[in-house]
Amino acid sequence: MAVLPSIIFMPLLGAVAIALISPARADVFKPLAVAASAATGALTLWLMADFDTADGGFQYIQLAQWVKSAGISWHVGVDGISLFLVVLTGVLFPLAILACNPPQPETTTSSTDSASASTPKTSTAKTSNSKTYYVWLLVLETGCLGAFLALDLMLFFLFFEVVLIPMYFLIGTFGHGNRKYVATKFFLFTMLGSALMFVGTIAVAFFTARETGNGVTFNLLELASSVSELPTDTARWIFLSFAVAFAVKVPLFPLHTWLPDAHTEAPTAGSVILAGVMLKLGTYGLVRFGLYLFPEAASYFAPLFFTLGVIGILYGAVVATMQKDLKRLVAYSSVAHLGFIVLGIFALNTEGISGGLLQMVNHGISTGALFLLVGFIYERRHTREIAQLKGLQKAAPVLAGVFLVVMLSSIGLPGLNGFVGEFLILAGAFVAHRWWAVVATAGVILAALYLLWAYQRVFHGTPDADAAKMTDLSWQEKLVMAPLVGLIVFLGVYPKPVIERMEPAVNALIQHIEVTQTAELPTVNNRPAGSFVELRELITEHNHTHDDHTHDDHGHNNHSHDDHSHDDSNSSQHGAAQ
Amino acid sequence: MALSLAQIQTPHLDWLGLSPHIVMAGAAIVLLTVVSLAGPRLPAWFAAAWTIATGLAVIGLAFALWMRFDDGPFGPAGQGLSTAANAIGVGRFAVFLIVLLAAVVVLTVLVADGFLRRENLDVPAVYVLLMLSAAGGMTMVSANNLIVLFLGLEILSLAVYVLVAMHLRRSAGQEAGIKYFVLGAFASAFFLYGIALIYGATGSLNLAEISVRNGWSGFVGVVNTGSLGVTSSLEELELASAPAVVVDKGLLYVGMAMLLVGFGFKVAAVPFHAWTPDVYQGAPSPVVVYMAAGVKAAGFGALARVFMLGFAGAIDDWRPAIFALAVASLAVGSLLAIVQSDIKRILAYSSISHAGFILVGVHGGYADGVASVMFYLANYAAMAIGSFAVVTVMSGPGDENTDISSLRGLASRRPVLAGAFTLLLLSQAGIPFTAGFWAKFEVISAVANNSSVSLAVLAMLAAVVAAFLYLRIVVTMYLEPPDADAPKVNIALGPATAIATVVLFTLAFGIYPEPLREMSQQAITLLAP
Repeated sequence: MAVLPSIIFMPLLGAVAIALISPARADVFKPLAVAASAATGALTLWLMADFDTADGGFQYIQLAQWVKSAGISWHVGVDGISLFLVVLTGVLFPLAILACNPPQPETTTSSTDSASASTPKTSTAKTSNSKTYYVWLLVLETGCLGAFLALDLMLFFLFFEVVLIPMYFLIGTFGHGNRKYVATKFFLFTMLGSALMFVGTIAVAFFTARETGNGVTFNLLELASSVSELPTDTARWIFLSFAVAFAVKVPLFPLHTWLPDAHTEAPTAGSVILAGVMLKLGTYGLVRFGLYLFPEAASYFAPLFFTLGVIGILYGAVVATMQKDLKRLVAYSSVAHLGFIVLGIFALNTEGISGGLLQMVNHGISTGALFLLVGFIYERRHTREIAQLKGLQKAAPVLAGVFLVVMLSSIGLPGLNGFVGEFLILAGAFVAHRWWAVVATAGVILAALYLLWAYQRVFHGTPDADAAKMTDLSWQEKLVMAPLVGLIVFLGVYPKPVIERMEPAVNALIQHIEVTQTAELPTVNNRPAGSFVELRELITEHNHTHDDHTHDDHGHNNHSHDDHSHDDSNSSQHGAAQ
Repeated sequence: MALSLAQIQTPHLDWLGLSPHIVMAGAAIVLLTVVSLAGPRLPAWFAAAWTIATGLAVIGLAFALWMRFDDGPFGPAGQGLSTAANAIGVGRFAVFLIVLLAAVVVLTVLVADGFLRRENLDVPAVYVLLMLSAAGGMTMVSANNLIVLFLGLEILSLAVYVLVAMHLRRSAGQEAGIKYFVLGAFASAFFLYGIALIYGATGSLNLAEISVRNGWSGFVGVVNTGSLGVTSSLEELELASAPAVVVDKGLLYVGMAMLLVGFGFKVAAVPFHAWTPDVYQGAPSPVVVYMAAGVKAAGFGALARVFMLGFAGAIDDWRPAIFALAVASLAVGSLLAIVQSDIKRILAYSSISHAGFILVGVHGGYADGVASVMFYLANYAAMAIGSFAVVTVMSGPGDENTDISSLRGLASRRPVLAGAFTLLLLSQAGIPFTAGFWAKFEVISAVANNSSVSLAVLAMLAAVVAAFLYLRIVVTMYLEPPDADAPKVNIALGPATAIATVVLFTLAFGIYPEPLREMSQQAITLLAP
């Protein structure tokens, strides 16, 4: 039963071990960090294999009193929604740690004199720097895993907030360019959101306790069943306080301005983790704490969120097209991709939400891989400017090939993982809000435009002198990219292992939303049966038993909505009739 | 003659209940006597060791008292005792703050010892004044009578005025001492005038009587349930059955406002904060350790006592004033800290913003609010002691080196010290897994649940602004290269012990706050009239 705490604290254990080892043994830091994170990754893979696919509830639950008098407990568990984010975290961290050595902090121009004065010290500074680098990365992993696995609101908040510290130091100490400004901006933006969420978290626990007359509890499962006692307005305000915190983290337009800066200036491993894992804290939070706790408020504010999501898709794509810096381009593509995920989540139906969840994993893999590749290029050429890179394909064919596959997955080419997620999202959104889905589809085309154009400029053409000298991927880098490329292809061809574990949890979530407030969700599942399901099965290759299951579920949903009509006015009439 | 003497009734004195006050004040007098008689023949460490021993003895006595109020042969849980003609009431509220003050004294001595050696100051009077001031603070937090409270306030303040001007070779210290004294005397005058007006309005100086006279019916329920821990002495006062006296509300409000001015000055709440940055900057750094942690704890303890007990019935009248003070302190404290360049001034403004946070807890009202104030004070004391102890260490000979640039690259020069300071700063910012996070949790949950969600939101927004200033210090330590001519930092054993203690405290209660939280929730026995 103690598998989840082991997963959460394994990286921390590694961090403590590294912190205690003398800086003189700097050569063991990296193997230790890789070992600790790889062990965590292995545990998450075992968790995925051992996971009961038929169960839509939480598994491996561990519950212990912590701050008893305040109703806060150590409560962790995993379900189909969090499982793959945990696995993603477990897989990306060892790869990111393996791929990148700690960058030497760049000395700023103002400090050239002091740098020369402290030259005798540089060797010790280097080693202590690599120590903090690995310590912070492993602490960050513990924070992310804790947040994904927490089933107690305050426990979640603690992990959600504490990940800021390692990331702050990673960007601040090991970043490029204007790193101090960027690190502070990142910290304050995120903290501003979570400050409101802090009040919201306290309010939801205390106000619910007041309504029900029971003791105060931050237990997510207990709150989810009793939170409907709250007055509608209160619940909406509290939902907003959560949603703002998550929207900053996602980031949702117009709260995204910290992201391009932070991604661009962060060290490569930092960007990989930031894009691959930390942004998912926001989208995961929206699903777990937005939809699950406040279904009514979520559907009330859904138009706002999917509209912002669509704006994010177009805005991110347009701005990405204009970028001169390759890393910044990838950063803006993240804004667009996260817009898709938000659109899927707030479609509030099974397809949209499973698509959103799947796309979280896909985006983690492909954008993480893109940042790694850009990092490799930067290491070789010390520039990320598209205009200065030319014809890399000739000198580094393997790098170019890998980049192409990853990029196509990011575009959403059928047969690669990005397509499955985007398709499900667009299908879910189309059913719920037709025109938004149509507009969002333009984002897919734009993604092809900016990514292919960037590829063309960087890899095609005749190489200049510098490019010709460029070395191809080393065996170590190939080793890092191989599992990512493998996953991209595998999930594109055969996403069933993921979807079949996700589906029960998503169905349970949809059911929870419907049970807590019947007849108030005009747009959920009121589609014509059949056509869509067939399409989806085409992709996901469900076996027969599974088909039956989804059909049953589908039929059930339709049944419960049979007497409802298709739009707002009718369903409100229905409510009035009741 | 003898007969008439015998007829004078002396009030009953509960010696155990008064023992912390007596030991602390008595030890100060003894030390003064011994030092003036034996003087140079004493070893250099004597005064410091004596003060530490006194502080630890007081903590021991206070724990005995704490246990006494527990279930057991002495009476039901949560009760207090009142003694000296109901002028002093010792319940767990008072005991909690007495322990806090004694602990602050011990840690201040640890910091001051190294400081005094470094500065070649041989003034055992510092320790005498420190103990006297703490004795005054203990009197404040256990006083049930406004005049006794005022006596405690004056003993506390006069000692600190002298301490601020203690460094004879620094003109900045002299200036700060005068500034603090003049403004403090002004505030004391307000306070005393407020007491007079309240006496005029209610005809009493006893907090419980004042409370009943201005129409608080809470005591009837209290006597029945015993929830506030009222002993039989309440019946002696015939309070429970005393009818509400029609009081002059105008006088009462003006008196309340004047008391608030006096307290506002002591705890450095905006708009009575103007002295804080100047005095913190000018005062010797170890004295600032005591001022930030000890004086603030005593001031807030007394404020909570007077307003939650004496003016319990008028809570709806004073709450808006607390709201305004809290918002102003939060805003001014966190915004003005950003533009400072002196580390002591930055921390002074941050202490103003913390005062705002504690006022938010006061706004939460009786029970939850008081418990959150207790919890916050204990944790804030740890952060403040640690932060100013680091400043003491860094300030170097002459206590002048307090510009923020002196911290540049501390992480590579003194990694452990920088790490400890970072942890304390993160705790001040309220980052998870530090005690400061739970302090904010207590205060915000008290106010959101009991009185005002908007105040909770404002407080958290101010906390984000304040986080920026703590980050600024962290950036200087970690992300800026050290100056080539940066002086070597020497850490004496005393300050190192103090910093290690508070860092351990901050981490331990950051990870598992339950014990401290339970204690603070029991530390709400305001009175035994």
